[in-house]
Amino acid sequence: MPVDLCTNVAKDSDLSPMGIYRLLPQTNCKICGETSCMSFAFKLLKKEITLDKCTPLYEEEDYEEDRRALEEMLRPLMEAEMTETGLVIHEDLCFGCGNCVVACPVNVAEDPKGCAIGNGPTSDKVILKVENGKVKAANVESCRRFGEHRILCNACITPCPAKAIEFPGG
Amino acid sequence: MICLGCSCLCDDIECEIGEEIKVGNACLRGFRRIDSINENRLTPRVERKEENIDDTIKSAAKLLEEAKNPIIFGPENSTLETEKEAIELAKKAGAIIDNMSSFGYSGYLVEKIFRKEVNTCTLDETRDDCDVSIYWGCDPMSSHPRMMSRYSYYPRGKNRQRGWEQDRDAISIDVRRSLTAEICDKFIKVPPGRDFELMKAFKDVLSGKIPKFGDKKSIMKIGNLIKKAEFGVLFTGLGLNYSINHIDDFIDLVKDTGFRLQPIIEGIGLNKLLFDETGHVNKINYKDKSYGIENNFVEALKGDIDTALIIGSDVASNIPLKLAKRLREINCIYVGPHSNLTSHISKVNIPTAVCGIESAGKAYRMDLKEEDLEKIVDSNFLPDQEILKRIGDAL
Ligand code: SF4
Ligand code: SF4
Ligand code: SF4
Ligand code: SF4
Repeated sequence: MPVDLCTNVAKDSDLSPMGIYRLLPQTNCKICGETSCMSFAFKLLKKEITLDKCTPLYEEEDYEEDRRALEEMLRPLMEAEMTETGLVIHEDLCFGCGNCVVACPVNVAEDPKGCAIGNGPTSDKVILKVENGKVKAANVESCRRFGEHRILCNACITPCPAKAIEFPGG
Repeated sequence: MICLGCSCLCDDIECEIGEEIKVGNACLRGFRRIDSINENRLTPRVERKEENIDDTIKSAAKLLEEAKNPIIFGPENSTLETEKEAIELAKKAGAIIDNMSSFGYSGYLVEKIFRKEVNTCTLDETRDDCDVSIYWGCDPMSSHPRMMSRYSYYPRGKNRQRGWEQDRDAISIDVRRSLTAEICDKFIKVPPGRDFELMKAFKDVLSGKIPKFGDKKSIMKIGNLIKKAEFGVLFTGLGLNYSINHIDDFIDLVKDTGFRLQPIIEGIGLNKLLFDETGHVNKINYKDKSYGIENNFVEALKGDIDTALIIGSDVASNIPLKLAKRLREINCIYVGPHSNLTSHISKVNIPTAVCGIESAGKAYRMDLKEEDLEKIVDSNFLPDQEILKRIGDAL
């Protein structure tokens, strides 16, 4: 019977250290200046190094396909705006629905009369706010994913129908 | 300010219109509506030739006067004042009046709600109390982008303090995985035309029987969620159009579940005004005060309509090409702020102000909450209600 019932779960993006590592040569040759391919992958995600530093990827024919896949995978990251804490907002995908604004626990705690009840922010302390139809981040230091007591908060990622928010650093 | 980008009528919009336009809190659709006040504006034209506004009004009045079978269609997002003038004009011209609500079942359901035959509730009640929301044949994330963040799913309500994570469930039922389906906890994909079977399956679960449709365990699970809901709200949209042939059974199901019904619909102000006057929400012919399917815009176009006045609705983009061509053949008058396909195929174009930005008025949210729209900037364009009134006066 072609009735398809799905329980939605948050999907892991390929744009993760592991996702990148899988496409690297995995030889740990250190040509890039990193101790291993894995640490190269981490730095790529944090935009601290660029793909062309891994010269084997460009020189050896066997890696060509992987290199193209990597370039494709990293493109949104290069184009996206990344805050200093690693929160990436893909402005081209966001359409300002405000789901993340209302769902973010920091927004809720800081703004019980605004974000918490579904409205636009009425406090300056919120992290996410929609401006000119796109979400913008501020006060990222209060994000639950950072600092000493960090937790793996997904509250802005799960409700986004456009997959416009990412924390590629993991 | 209030955004009139869709029938959510969001009332928390921050807006600065200076050299740059800055808009806070509105979704992209709402922002674009404000941002577009300097783009793509309609020029007054008759038969493609630029005219002054008075002459376009005269031409429109003349076409309506000479018409044997005129129709007035729209508006989608406008003021109650405009909707009132549209009805007055229909009376004067002896015209049919109809709007988008007669495409699909939205109008039918709204009429049932106005007659108090089906329960409904306000969006504020939804925010404060709703624990289970169902989106059947609708995709609010695309059509009404902030509805779920402001009311039905994400916000913390008076009696739903733990919000979407623990206090609310959302179920999407659709033919495809829409944006709404993407974020609901549960999604049932139903092949076109088979909603009726799913409906029966739910009825079975409600009465303690084993459902005969789809994956029984999942249907049971969702059925029981529906059964246990304390304050359920069912949103419907145009998707019901092609999949439910048994609309009255659908209404029975809604009653059985105790859910409140909220059709997601634009231009409900016109529906309410018409209902108060005639007992029906659309498809009225003021020539003989008749009501019926033959007065539906699409049916009328297939029939002997010779003149159409379209108010602020790009209807040509929403009907089959063949009918759009027919619209081009007849005498079509377009009244609205921007140029679009409908204005392009119309013989007379009359530009208006963008209401809620360049003109003020009142409007109904989809749940009939009345809002006051302000005028934010000055413009040279006349409000649509004034244009309609002047056409009426010239008749
Ligand atoms: S240069 Fe490339 S292959 Fe060598 S360690 Fe760095 S990432 Fe790995
Ligand atoms: S990760 Fe959590 S705290 Fe940080 S912005 Fe997203 S929702 Fe807010
Ligand atoms: S949930 Fe996604 S689309 Fe909606 S405002 Fe946030 S980032 Fe943008
Ligand atoms: S949801 Fe509708 S009313 Fe609210 S900001 Fe978006 S377009 Fe405007």
